[in-house]
This record gives sequence, C-alpha cells and structure tokens, in this order.
Amino acid sequence: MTRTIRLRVNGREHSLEVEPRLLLAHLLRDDLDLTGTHIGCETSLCGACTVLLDGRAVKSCTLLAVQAEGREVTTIEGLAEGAGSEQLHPLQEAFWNEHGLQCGFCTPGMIMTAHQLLEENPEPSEDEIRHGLEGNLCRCTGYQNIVRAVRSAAAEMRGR
Amino acid sequence: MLPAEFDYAAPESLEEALALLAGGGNVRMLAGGQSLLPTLKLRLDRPDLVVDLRNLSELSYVREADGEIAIGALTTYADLVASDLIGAGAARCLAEAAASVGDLQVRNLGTIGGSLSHADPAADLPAAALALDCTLVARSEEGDRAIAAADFFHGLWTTALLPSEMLREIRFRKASGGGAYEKLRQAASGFALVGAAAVVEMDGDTIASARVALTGVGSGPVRLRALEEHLTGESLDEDFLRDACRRVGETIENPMSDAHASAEYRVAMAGVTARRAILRAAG
Amino acid sequence: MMGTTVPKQIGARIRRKEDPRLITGSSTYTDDVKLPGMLSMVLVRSPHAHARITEIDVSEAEGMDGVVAVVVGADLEGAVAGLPVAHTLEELKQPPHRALSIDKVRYVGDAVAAVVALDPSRARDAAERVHVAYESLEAVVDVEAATEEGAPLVHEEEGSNIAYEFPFLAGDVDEALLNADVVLRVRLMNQRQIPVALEPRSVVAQFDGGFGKLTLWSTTQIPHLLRTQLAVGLGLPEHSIRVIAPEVGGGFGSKLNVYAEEFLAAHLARTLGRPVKWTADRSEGFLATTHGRDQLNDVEVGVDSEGRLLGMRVRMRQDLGAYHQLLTPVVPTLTVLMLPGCYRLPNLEVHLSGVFTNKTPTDAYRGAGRPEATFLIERVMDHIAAELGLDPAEVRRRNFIAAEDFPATTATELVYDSGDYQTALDRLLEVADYAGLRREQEERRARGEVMGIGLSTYVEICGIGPSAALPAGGWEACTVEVRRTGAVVVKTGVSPHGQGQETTFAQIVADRLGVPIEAVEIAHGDTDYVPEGIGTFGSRGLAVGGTALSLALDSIRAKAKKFAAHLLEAHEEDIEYAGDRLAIKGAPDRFVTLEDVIGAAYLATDLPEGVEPGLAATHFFEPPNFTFPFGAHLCVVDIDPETGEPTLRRYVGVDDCGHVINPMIVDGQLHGGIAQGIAQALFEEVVYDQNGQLVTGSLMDYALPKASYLPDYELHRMTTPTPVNPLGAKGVGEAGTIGATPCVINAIVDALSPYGVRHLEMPARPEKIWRALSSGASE
Repeated sequence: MTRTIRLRVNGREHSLEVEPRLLLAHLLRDDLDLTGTHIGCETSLCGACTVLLDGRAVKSCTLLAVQAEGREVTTIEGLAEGAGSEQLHPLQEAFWNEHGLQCGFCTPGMIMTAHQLLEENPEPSEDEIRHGLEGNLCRCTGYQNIVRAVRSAAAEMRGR
Repeated sequence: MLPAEFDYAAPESLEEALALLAGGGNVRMLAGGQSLLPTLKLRLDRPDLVVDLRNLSELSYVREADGEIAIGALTTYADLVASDLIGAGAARCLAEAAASVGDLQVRNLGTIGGSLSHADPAADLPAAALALDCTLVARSEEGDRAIAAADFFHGLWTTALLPSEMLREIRFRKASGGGAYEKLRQAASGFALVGAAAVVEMDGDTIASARVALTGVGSGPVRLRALEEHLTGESLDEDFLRDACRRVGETIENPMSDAHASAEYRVAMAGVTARRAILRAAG
Repeated sequence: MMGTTVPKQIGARIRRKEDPRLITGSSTYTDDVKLPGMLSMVLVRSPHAHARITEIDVSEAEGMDGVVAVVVGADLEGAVAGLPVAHTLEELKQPPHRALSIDKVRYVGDAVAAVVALDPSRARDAAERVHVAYESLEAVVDVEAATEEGAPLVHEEEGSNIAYEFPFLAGDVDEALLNADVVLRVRLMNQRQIPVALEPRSVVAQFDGGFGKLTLWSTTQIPHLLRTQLAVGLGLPEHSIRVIAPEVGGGFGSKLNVYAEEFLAAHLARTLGRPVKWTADRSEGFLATTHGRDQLNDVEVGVDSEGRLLGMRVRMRQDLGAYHQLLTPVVPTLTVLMLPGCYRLPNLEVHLSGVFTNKTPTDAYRGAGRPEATFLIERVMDHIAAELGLDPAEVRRRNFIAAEDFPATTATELVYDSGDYQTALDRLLEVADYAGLRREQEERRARGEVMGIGLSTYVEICGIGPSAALPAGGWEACTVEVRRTGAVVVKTGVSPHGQGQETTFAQIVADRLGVPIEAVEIAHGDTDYVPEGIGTFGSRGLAVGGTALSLALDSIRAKAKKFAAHLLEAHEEDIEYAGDRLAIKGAPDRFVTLEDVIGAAYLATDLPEGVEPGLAATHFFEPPNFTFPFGAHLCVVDIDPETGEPTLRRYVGVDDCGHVINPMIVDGQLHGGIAQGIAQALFEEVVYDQNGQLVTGSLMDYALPKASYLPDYELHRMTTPTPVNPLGAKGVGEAGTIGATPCVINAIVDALSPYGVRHLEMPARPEKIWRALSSGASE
C-alpha cells in the first residue's frame, strides 16, 4: 500500500509515492538524493539526521515521510542562502572557521539544530548552546569548537 | 532500521480517528511519534494500523478558562515550554518537566498526550501531571470521560485508557503557589533516573499545602501523600524538610533497579530531588 | 628581497581544505554510494551468546517478494575464507572465524545468514523469516571465570579459552619487592567500551565480470590492507581489486579491521552479478563492530620510603571476546610495552593472558592498549602518593625519566626518542595554579564541599611504526606529482577520516615547493589511484605518512634544482630555494620560477643530461623507531555530596607532540581525544548480563557524552621534536584519550580521599561516588 504525498524540500515542490513505513530520512536520501542528511542511530539520539520541518529542527529518522505531507523541509543542502549558490550560511562558515568538525558526519545535523537554536535565541550563552545541542552527538571534536562555532555564527548573524 | 509494514490513516477529524480506533486490531495512535517511531523501527511493535493525528491541529492549545488551564493532547513539549500560562506559578513544574524531556528536536515533536498515554515509568510529565492534580479527558466514540491523574497511571506503560479511547485534553485548576521539577538524568537516554515534581503554596513561612510526585523510581509515577500531609502547616525549615524527605523513597513499592542505577540509589535520590523541588517550588 | 613572499604555511592555523564539502552536505560517505541495480544485504544474527546451530531453514525467506538470495555459512565453504588475524606472537590459538558461522554461534550478533533483496526493507522483512534452530549452551562472559577449570569453552576444539600467554620479565621483581619499603597491591579494571564512530559501518561491492574486477567501497581506515585480505579471502588477484574508502565518518580503531560484511558483500556481488550494499544499524553496530579495552589488571608494586619505583608485577587478563579480529591479540601487548610510562622502572614482570569469552571481539579503540597502560601506572602513582602521604606531583617528580637521559631505554626495551616530562608537569602546575587550587580545595573542604584535583602525566607510543613491530608493515608510501598545469597532486597511503591531512599535507607541500595551498590536492583512500599504503591508525598519519611525503618532496626539489641549474647554466649545488624561486646562491636576481622548471620538465626539448622528463616522485618511508609524544593533564572536579554527581569544572593540558604543522588541527585532535578519555572515566561502559546479552545495546543505554556533559579544555603546548623523522612530528591522535582517563579518575579519588576512598571503578557514575561518600561518611 503506497500513498502519494506532496511536500516542499529546500524550496522545491515534490510529489512522491511512498510506503507509509518509509522514514523521512530515507525519502530525502534515497528518493531525493539529498545524502547530506545522515543516519547514525535508530533510537533518536544521535541527531545526525536533523532537518528543519517548517523551520523547526526534527530528527528525520524519527518521522515518517507521510508525516511531512504538505510541509516544508530544509536540509543542509538547502541552507546556504539561495540554495546552490556559493554563499555559505554563517553557521557553515563558522563551523569551517572554528574547526567545528573533523569527520563531518554529525555536522549537517549539528548545523540544522544550531539553526533553530539561534533563531530562538540570537545571543546564547555557552551553557545554552551546550544544552541546546544535546540532541546531537559528535564523537570527534569534544564539542568545544562546535560551541565556539555556534557563538561566532550568532555574533555574525546579529551583526547583519 | 526500518519498520515492518503497516496500514496508515491520517484522519481529518477526531471523530474519524476514534472510529478507526474503535475498529479493533492492533492500532497505534501517532502523535509526535518520538516514542512510537523508535519502537516501530526496532520492530518491537508491529501495529496493523497507524493512525496519524497530524491533521488534528485543534488538539494543540494551552488556554485558560473558568480558573482552569486546559492543554490539548497534541500540544508539544516545545509549546508547553513556550507557554506563558504554564511558565509561572504552580504550573511551572509542568513547564520545567517538559523542558527537561529529551532534546530540542524531540521537544519539537513529542506531545503531552503522547507522553501521558505512553506512561513510560521514567517519563517526566507524569510526575507533573500528578503534582498538578490534573484531570485527563479521554475521548471515545461514546464521548468524553474525565480521569483523575491519580487514577490514570497503572504501572509500566499501562494507563486507565480503554482501547477505544484516546486522550483529548489535560486540565488542572489554577492554584496559587509555585511549582518546580527536579531530575537526575540517565546519562544515555536523558530519561529520569529519578524526577520529582512539586507544587507548594506558602502562607508566610508556613507551608499551606504541598503536592509532590515522583517518577523513575517505581513502575509508574507516585504521589507522596504522606509527605504532603506531614509538610502541611509546618514552617519551611531546611533541616525539617531534609528530615521529612529523607525516607520518602522507601514508601515506593518495587523500586526499579537496572544497569543505570540500583533501587537503593533511586530510593535515596527520591528524597533529594523531592526536597530540592519543594524548596524551589516554595520559592 | 629574495623570492616571493608566500606566507609560511607550516605552523599556521589554516582552516581545512576538506571542510567545504562536509559543511554543505556534498561529500560522499559509503552509504551515499548508489549504483544501478544495487541490492541490499541484511544479516541474520544470533540472539544467543553461545549456542549450537541445529538447523537453518531459509526456504520461506527465499520465496519472499523481492528476495534475490539467501546464503548460509555452508554455502561459502571453499569460496570465502575465514577472517584474518595479524600478529607476531609466538604461539596463538587461531580458531576459525567464518564470515557466517556454521556449527555454533559464540556471541550475540554472530552472523549466521545473509539475505539479499531489492531494497533494505524487504531484506529485513525476509531476514526475520530465516528460521534458525539453536540449542542453547552455557555462556562464559567473565574473563576470570573463563579461565577456570570446567568453564564452558568458546572454541571446544582448542581445549581452553586461553588463546595465548604472553610473559615478560625485565630485572628481578621478586628481589625488588623484597627490598621495597612499601608494597602496594591494586586491582584495576579497564572496562569494555564501544568506539561508536558516528558513521555506522557500511560496504558497497561491485563486480565487473568482464574485467574480473572487484570494486569495494568501505568505511575503512586501511583500504590497502583490506585489498590484500580480500584477495586472500576471495581468491582474487590483488591487482584486480579496488578498495575505495570515500568519506569516512570517524573510526577510532573500529574501522581498522577486516570484517565479515566486507567479504560477504564482495562474494555476493561477484556471484549475483549485481552491486550489493550493506549498512549497519547502530544497534547492529554495537553487536558486530569491535569493542575496545576490557582488561583486568592485578598490580603489585614496590617502592622505597621516598616513593621511588623499585619493581612492578602485573597479572593482566585481556578479554578477547569470541574471536580474533585483525589485531585483537596484539592490542594488549602494547599495554605491556608502555607500562613504565614516564618513569624509571628497573624491574618489571608481566603475565598477560588473552582469553576468549562469549562476547563481541575486542580490538583497537583510540589508544589501543596504551590507555590501559597509562591508566594503570598513573593510578599506581596516586596510590603511592596516598600511601606515603606525598603530593601526587612530587611522586611523579621523583620517578620521572630525566630530560638529560634521552634517548631513554625502558625496561620493555623501547627507546623513548625525546622528552622532558618534568618541564611539562611544571608548566601544567603553573598554568593551572596548582598551589592555588590546593588552597581552594582546603577551604572548600572546610565548608563541607567535595572537590578533587587530578593529575596525569603520560607518554605514548606513536608514529606506528617500524615494520618489524607490525604484522602487516609499518611503512608508508607517497607519490607527489607536479603536474604541467602547476597543480601538485599528492597520493598518500594514509587514509584520513577526520584527521585533516588534506590540509596539513598541503601546508607542507606549499612551503616546500613554494606553491599556493589551493594548488595542492591530497588524494587518498582509493587503491587504484594510490597504489600503496598502510593506512591511518596509531597516530601515524603525519609522523609516518607525512615523512613519506617529505621524502618525495625532497626528490622533487632535487630534480627541480637540476632543471634550474641547467636553465641558469649554473652548478646544481649552487642553486637554492627561495619561495617559489630557484636562484643562484649569492645572486638572488638570477633565478627561475617553479613554473619555468615545470615548463622545462614537461616540454622536454632541452633536458639536462641524464635527467628524465616530468616532475614526480614516489617514496616509501620505513620509520627507524616509534615516536613518543607526552604531556601532563590536570582537572578539577566538583561533586554534589547528596547525589554524587561530578562536574568537571576545569580541564588543563600541556601536550608535546613535537613539531606542529597546524595548531588548530592539533588542538582539535586533543579536544576529541580528551572527550573520549573523560567518557571512559565517567560515562561509558559495556554491560553484558550473565547470559551474554548486551544490556547496553543502543545509545539509549550506552552513554556517549553530550555537549553539556563536557568542559572547555585549556590547552598549552611544548615542542620537543623527535629525531625519528625529518618533520620532527610525533603524532597526536590518541594523546588526549590516553591522558584524560586517569586524570579524571585521580581527581574523583582525590575528591573522595577525605572519606577514606583510595579507588573507584570506572565509569565513576554518580551512584558509585554517592556510595563511596556514604560509606566513608558512616565510617
């Protein structure tokens, strides 16, 4: 039994036929080839699959694709201003500048969560950043440079 | 991991959803899905039918009427945290409990109705629901049925809900006084090793009333009625409170023991978290 | 001014060349690889820790919609060999380790069948319909119980669970302990951990029947070694195999291996004639990717009345799990080698037993054997301090190998290349204000607060390593091609997966050839493009791989000088480098640029005599010794006396990894390493129940630290170059992990010392601390 769903991903309208059991993460990766969204666990803890659903960070492996019917999904590929442009989002730029990544596997999810964090709190404290990122695990960086990156992106975004 | 196959429906109305529920078989209501999805993916649960409640946006609200605060069952943790109505006063214990759930992403999707219906023994919101003396409104095709929070939780993942019912609303009387939620986290999952919710009303230095509930210790959330009685009318003295709370955990039957914490530790921490919650609630 | 002013790249904080693709989601990890006609593989794994397989019925699964093939162990006989173990031990029991078990299963997760279907969902549906009948056997999960008479045997045919004994003796420990003023006995458990690289393992195999060519994408740290093992395992010519390690999402030793799924996917792609992909779920990875540590040590140590080490005896039991993986038995031998740590230890006796149990195999995990050694000796130092009433810093000072004693030969016959442990500790105590912290501690204790200060000093064995010490070769290879466009392509045999060598290697090239960093491309992880190499592990990327690069650059420079001399009609020995110019010594205005040299080398119309066209070189570097980075760490912990919850308030390190190419990357390696070391001390622990079921089988139960659990790290650096390689670089990938674990435990024990506590088992979870506080308080 499949269903046809319509959703917007990174500003583009899609109509897809999916099994109800299909996870949003797999729809993005397998059907739309947006492999920047990674899958690191199945218990909704690692956050590597985090995307924005109507602007809010969600774990796309803990959401059925059908639940995203009629909604707007933003992935790491759609984050840079004017998707496809050379212009990086300040968060991307900050992760690069501050060495906020090593293997890079957690990075897209980490950036998407940080995105919502800064939308709601443009000037977060170190503690607020650390708590805000609890849903995203990183095994490489020890988090310090991630925290710095989020702070530096916050400063940059406030300055705009 | 990928779920086993299931049928799926996304009803447009509560009535339609209830009809599907009444249809029998192994039906699962999908609200925020933050507990359901992982169990589906691990294939620990294999429903015949998943009823997705995403179209029932009318069940997402926090509002005040007739001295009561009413919360729609599909209100997310994030909405609870953001709500002015429950950010202050006694209701604050609910906001703090919601803020302590999982992480930002989980709080964006998970709902109060989902949490209470799922009745995980280590969930945070059930303790707050007990401390606030909530009324849980269950709905079936027969209509509404009001269940006191104290009668709702029946132990591990079981509630007073009938197979044909789903939670529609959670409400509680707006009380004067303060509320707080204290929690020791299980480091991996973020669930409560022990959580304590307290609602305290002061009369000067005297405790006019107190309601305290624990989660994580037993097979379900528990009200500490003996402690509440013991506190009422007493002055809020640190040593008195310490003494009063010291042994509250010991009243809980069959305290949980697992790889994360022994029963002994949970029982001891019940007293510590209860005391800290009461102190902050008394403000 | 001579030459152009290219800013020096070596030593600069340059943001990474690899990052743009990673921060935009445009990189390709193995699970991102999609090929036409690709099938999905799912494995059927044992739910029992120890059981006889009485029957496997695949008929229902085979008949299911979308299922292409189901294979069991018997189907592989003669086609797929067992999994390899590499070792240099004199005697080792090597029971077969089949890709799919036939007779028995020996741990929860042992694979018994592989299902291949059109997509992952259908493969998983069918895997559930493979009916395996088991006759359950008693499991052995405890390393001591496994060596007892009558214990269940993991491999019956071997007659014992002890896979090998590794005795070591230097000096006379009996005599030393007899003469000691104090003899301490401590038992130290280094608990089992799961590495949890954030990217789960994944394999894609494709077989081109026409060419007889196998291409395998894998989440591996060692594409070249995997290529060789695939050739052996599948009976294919090695040169017909191409292994690609695309973007790899962390490894920490868990991808330094040859796994069943790599053999299976390759075999099935070959027999089915279609590409096959397998990607682990996280919980599957918890069962079927190697674990780390799990070493039990009984230590007897003798010191004189001043706290000086006289001799040490260690009874070491390593839990190997159910089978050998690639380096399973070798890892604890590194512990033996590094037991002396930073100290003069004249007499040492070790008896190591490697023991099979019904658990997931252990193997390398960040540090691989050295964290166990450092934890042991650093805990011993604090025990000595506590016993003699000395400051832990003072005990260390009395035992350090002195700076003037380098190169220093240890009791374990290692030659420490260079070091200055006392200065590292002194600087640490100064920058952290140790004296001030001790005063603060006194004040806080008087107020009933619980605060601890922990120290550790470490030396580790890195730059692995001389080939004699490694069963698969310890050299590294590198090719540098200066292309006719001016681009410089480096093909390195190391296989970075987060370590940033695309940047650090480019920095070296930029400085040595005077080219902009943007003109340099570092290629790795594809055995067809980079024909030889060993891989990335053991903090060897820069120290060994970077040296191979440096040697190749030497050749390029030498050849460029020949061209320059020819073009300038000068003698080769009169040419010198100045940025991107090659000029005549003493006559800086007489020069050619690298561009001129490239033109001459590729146009080849006027070659110097005896010089070939082109500008490329390949070098292999065989390191003459290991390198020995070192450092000193301090942390401050506050404990909630009611709940036992510890808070790491400060973490300070002084680390010395020799010359640094990019300090930003070195700091990042230390941060991550320290985080993992803290995690072992405070959070992570693999728990099996008595039946061999993995209790901590998912991230819901196995506690990886989150951002809010960790402190900011205050890092300081010393630079003591190594003479082992021309870069003077020692390696830094594992240093943080090695230093941090004992540092944190020492701090917690220090905090609890007023309560009569001398030791606490890891991880120091709140409950353990609370118990220690309560029992001490009631004393």
